[in-house]
Amino acid sequence: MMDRKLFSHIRSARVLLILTVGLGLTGGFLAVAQAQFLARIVTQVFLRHASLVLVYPALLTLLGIIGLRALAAFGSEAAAGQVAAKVKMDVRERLLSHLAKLGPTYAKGEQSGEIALTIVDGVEALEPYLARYLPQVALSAFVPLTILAFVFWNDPLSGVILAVTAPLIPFFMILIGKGAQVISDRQWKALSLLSAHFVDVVQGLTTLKIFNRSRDQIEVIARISDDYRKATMASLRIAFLSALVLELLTTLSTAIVAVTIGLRLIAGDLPFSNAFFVLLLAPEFYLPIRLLGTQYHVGRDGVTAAKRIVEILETEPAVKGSSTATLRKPITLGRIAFEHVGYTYANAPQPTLRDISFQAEPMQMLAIVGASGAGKSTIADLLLGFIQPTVGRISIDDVDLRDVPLGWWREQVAWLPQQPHLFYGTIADNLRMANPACSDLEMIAAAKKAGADEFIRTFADGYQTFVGERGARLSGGQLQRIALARAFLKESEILLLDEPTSALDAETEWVIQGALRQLRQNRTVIVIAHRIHTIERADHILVMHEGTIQQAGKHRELLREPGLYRELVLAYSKTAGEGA
Amino acid sequence: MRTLLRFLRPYGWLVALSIVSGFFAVGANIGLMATSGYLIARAALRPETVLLLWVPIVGVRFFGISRAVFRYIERLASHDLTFRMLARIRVYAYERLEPLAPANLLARRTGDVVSALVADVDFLQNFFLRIVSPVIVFILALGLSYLIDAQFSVLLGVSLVISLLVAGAVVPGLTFWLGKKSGEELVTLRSEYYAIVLDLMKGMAELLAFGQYEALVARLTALQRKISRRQRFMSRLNGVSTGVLVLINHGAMWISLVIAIPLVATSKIPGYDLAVIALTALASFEAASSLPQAYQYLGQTLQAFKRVKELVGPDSLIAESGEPIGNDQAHDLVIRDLYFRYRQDEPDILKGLDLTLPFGKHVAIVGESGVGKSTILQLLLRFWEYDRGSIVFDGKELRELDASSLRACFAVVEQAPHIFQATLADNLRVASRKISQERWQQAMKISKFDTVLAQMVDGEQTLAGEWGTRLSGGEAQRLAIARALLVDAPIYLLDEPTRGLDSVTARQVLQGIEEVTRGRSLLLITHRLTGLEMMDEIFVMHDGKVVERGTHQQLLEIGGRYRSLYDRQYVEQQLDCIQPSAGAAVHS
Repeated sequence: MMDRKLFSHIRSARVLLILTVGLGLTGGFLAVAQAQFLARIVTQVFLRHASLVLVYPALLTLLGIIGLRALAAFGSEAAAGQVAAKVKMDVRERLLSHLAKLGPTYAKGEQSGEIALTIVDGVEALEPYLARYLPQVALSAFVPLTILAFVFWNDPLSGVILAVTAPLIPFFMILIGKGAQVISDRQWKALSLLSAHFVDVVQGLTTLKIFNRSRDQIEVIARISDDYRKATMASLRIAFLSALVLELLTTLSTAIVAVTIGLRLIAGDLPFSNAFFVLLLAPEFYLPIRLLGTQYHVGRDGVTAAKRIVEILETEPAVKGSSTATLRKPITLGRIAFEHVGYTYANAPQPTLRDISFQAEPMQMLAIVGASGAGKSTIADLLLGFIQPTVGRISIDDVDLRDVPLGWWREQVAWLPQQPHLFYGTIADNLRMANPACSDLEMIAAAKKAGADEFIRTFADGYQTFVGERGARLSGGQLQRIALARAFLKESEILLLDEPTSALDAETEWVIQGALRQLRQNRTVIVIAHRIHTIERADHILVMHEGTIQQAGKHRELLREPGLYRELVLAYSKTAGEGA
Repeated sequence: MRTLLRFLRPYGWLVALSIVSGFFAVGANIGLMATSGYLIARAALRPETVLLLWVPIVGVRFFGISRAVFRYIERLASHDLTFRMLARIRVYAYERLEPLAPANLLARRTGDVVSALVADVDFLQNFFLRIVSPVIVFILALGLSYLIDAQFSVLLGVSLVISLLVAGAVVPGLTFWLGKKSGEELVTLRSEYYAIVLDLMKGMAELLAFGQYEALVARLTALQRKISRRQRFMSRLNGVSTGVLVLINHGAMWISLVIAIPLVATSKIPGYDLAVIALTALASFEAASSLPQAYQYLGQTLQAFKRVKELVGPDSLIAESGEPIGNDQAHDLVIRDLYFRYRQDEPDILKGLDLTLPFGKHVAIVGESGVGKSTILQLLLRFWEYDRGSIVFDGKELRELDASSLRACFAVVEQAPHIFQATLADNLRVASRKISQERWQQAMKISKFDTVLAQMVDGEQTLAGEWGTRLSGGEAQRLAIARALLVDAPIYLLDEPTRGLDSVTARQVLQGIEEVTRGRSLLLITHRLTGLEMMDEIFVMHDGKVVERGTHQQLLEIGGRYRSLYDRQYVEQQLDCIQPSAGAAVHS
């Protein structure tokens, strides 16, 4: 089921499967042919006392078959690799482009790491699954059946023995597989517990050291490891026992075939060449089924990965129709208006935003305040086109945002997120994101305005210092200033600022306030505010509470009327008074 | 390699048992095929009575059963051995890691480093299972194959051994060698790819907002092409190697025939042995089949072990041993003109710090975040080595004291306390091995952790940490305070103890700590100017130095940095912090 879905998404995967199964099947036929010729040669020499010269043609044919078998083995391995590379490339490309459509709300927070893993390791796990496991499933049915047919042809009784024992193998394998899955799941849990304990202890080493308890853990780690060994061995013993039964079954049935053939040979019921042929094929008969057993885990990992990949690919994008929208007439960036906008996240029982209406006038500063969870960042997501309103509309100078090409719109907005992300690369790379065409001078000027130039110069490599995951460590304030420099670099008409909630150092606070004064002079500014200074300066304030706009107006007006805003500010001044 | 083998040494008998039974399992397979061939060939000559075939029939049955049994024993022994070995390696890694924390460990992100270490240690399970054991079994099987074939003709034996060596050693070795460069490149390329994908996911909002998503995807596609090229090369290489192995395996059988047929024709060997020879040649390659894998694992395993050794390898930055010091004395602490930087390429964080903490006094260090307040604590705990200046503890230079006995003089509330994956009680008991009932209750009460415990269904037995109940910031902080108060030490070091606590609770908790630590030294590090009226002295830090000192009242009167910090703290109060009460007011 999952496979069919995957195949419908990735056409190249089907080619891969057909190719590997075809070559595997060819290999099976060649094995039969090889046994046939080998049996004939041995019989001729052994019973008819033929000389080397006499069997030479047959020997050469045998060599030819062996050569073909080698070619088929090479072909299936190499072809699988070629096609698998294409499959992986296709899947990754589709995932990346689909994720862009799903937008940042999909890959938020902890999910981002998991999705990244799916793109890298999940897709990688498709290769063994598609190139080995699935073909093996097909081959473990086809090849034994082929061989069985030939064995029947040569010696019906051996055919019966094989035919009777063969179904026992899948039966036992399913039994073992089920048991093994339970055991391996349990094992996996035990191992991750063990690993988790180790990680936990090492991460807490500082704490343990502070309390002088770190040496005690040596004994604990040894003890837990030993407990783990005992528990694992207890369950492995069962798993190995099942493997023993399986192995016994295959070797014993080969032995039974050999003994019964031998007995009938004595009686003269069976020609030697038929007997030898059957004996040669007996191990080949069980081989594909046993190989399937070894691919079991590969198969399981692959199914999990395929499931997740299909799930991502089949998630409906939150934003529709944006890529096809064209700018019918030039828009002058004027008023941005929310008209009765509501938004409900997928799978959420309650709307996050309800009936939001406001206007942001050109060259004015609009501040949005409210507790976390009030829906402020959803407004930012809507404005950036990461999501679209479920109810109502957002308009730019009376044009519905849905009809505006997203790419163009995003160019008009400079966004300063609450927690800016720095990409692995140089500081210059990170700044240039906002404006790839800018000159060094422009970049440095922007950094200076944002108060970032000074600290960037303290790094030995200056603007060429590597930052991000594996790069230099930056403080929260430094991060904010780099993000601010980005906003300066991007020459856009609209600034969307999400003020950091956490306290920053005094200098950064001062820099941000100063920059805001400067930026608002020739831009429309929408700020999600957490600072009283910012709010006081705003032209218009929206007070949000549980997804709705509770109050709106200027600072002075709002102070006069009783309501949430006055409560907020009063509460603030009370604490301030108490302190002084 | 040699050091890894050392971990196997204590388990010699298990090693022997595993290898011997592994060899017997492979031997039984050869035996099964060879005796089966012998059986049917002799049977084809139609002997007078079945009794003549009694020995081969018993042989066939014996090998048919024993193979599975030997395999079973081998698996048990080798896995047991492997787990024992891993346990030893884990203890070894921890023993070496312990002195490094936190200075040599925190340079990179601990979480990643530790999980990489765990993965590497787990990977070492392949060492015996997939490398040592298959190689030795292969060598033994070589001998067996030779012995079987050589009884017919030495040439047969030699040719089989040569084919086995080519299939088991030469071809996999060559494949491994040819693919080594690509394989290594693939590892780096893939980790680079992963890093970019992770970046892409985490920074997706910004990439889309700045219109840079496509550009990064293009970079990924280019990288993917490079990866694909190498993977295709690897799969061709593996294809060739698989094909060649098939050729050698069956070719060896073919060569055996070519050698043996004239011998049969000239009656040098009996005809029925021809079947034995052909089947022996086919069956003996089983031992060679796991060797390509062994080559691959060898490289990876040695690398994993190298990484483990590298991580645990460096010597501690700090000399832990020194003059022991008792924790029941009155210790004065004096810091003079202290300079410190975390890394040589970073600027100084402490720039000539002076500070005194006479025994029994309560002292606070205040300042904005990032001025180096917490660094002082790190240095006092001997987690880092200071460069210039001196810290004199009880009249002796700090670095000359025994680190462990020094730490016993402190009870510490860390800034980012670690919550272990254990019960809350166990988390608290980290503090000390012996805790009196009285002390326990007092600590719970003062830290107000008792209210946290009261909320939990399982109370003290509630599982905490990643897989248990997640403690909120404030709850974790109270746990850390309780933990510190359980320690009986002359000096209390508190680093931002009230982080995450509301101001009322913060004040009460601080008051409680104040009272219970009277008569002992207390060093409070904070950027929050709450409850400082009780302090004997306050040091105001700025830019790595102490810029003002005095009592709360004195500092307020001076009207300097302390005063402005104090005022601004309320001016810059965040709306979010006071929202809940305001929100409630609206509803009422």
